[in-house]
Amino acid sequence: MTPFRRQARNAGMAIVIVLVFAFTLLVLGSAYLKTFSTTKPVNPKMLERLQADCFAQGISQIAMLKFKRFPADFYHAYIHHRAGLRNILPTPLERFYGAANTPLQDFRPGGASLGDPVPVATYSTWYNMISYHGYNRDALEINVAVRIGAIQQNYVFTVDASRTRLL
Amino acid sequence: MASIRLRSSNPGVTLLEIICAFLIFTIATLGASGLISFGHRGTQKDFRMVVAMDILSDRMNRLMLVSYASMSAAITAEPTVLTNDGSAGAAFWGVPYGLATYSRAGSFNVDLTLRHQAVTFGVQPFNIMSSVGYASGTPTTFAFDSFEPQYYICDGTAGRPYQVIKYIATVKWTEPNGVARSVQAVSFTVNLQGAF
Repeated sequence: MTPFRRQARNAGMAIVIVLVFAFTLLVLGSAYLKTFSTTKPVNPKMLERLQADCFAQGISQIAMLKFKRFPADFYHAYIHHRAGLRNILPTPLERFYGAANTPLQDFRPGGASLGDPVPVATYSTWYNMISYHGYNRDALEINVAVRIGAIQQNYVFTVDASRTRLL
Repeated sequence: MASIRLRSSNPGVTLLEIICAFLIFTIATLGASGLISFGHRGTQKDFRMVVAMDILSDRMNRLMLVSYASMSAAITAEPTVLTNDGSAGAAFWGVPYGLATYSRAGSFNVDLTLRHQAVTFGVQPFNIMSSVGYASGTPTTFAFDSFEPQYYICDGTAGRPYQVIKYIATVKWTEPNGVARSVQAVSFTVNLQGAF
């Protein structure tokens, strides 16, 4: 009876062992697939970030052009706005920023985004002045918010600006 | 004798069992190797994408340093596309375009597209002549004219020259399975040197 019992205990062990192996492989494989599927979307997001960086850099240049073209209008509009005056609505500063579909605010010439062929969803631009009275100098902050795909990026470009009295 | 009879009444069970186990193991191993191969292909594809973005970033960073005047002089048509597929050595103000090779990632082609961009700025002009008792630190003394939505037009027509150039860098490559892929980025350069 002893040999019979030993054989019955060992019967099917190879299948059990190989099933354990196969199950282990399955677990490892699914973990590998999961890792792969979570790392894959990183590249498109990096591309969107790069596209947003470049686009925002360009928009800040356009914002700089407008500031450089109309410094006195900007300064007075900015000071007027910061004083909280609402005797002119929209305020001159809001006019300076522009409404939607103007160069600093989600411009869509001919219906296509200014960023075409890059799929820029929206963008907006605004300014801040930081005064250093001790040195009679200002720093102009150009803020650009860009949304491409699912990512929203905010940029701040700071430039030195000399200030000269008008009168 | 009883035990001998019992063994001999199940001949080949162990062999059959080993064959089944081997089959299962082979199928599992094949599946695992296929999975690894799939992951490897995906990694190579991602690597090519990373290289393309690296090239794109390099070209855009270089283009940002090119002046408005240099770009404007190069625009012979709207748009002007600088392309040199399959050949290396072409450059626009130090920005290489055409063939770009990268070790272990293959070949890429870079196109540069330049075009003037019309823009129109609206302003509500500050009017110092109407600002009675003007004081620069007293905003209640500020007077503004009415808003002019087309105060400054830069559309390339007579007396209204372009001031903005839109440039696009495109990096193109072909996957081993023949699928064409590309990545692009857009930016602008502005004429800040003009007399204002």
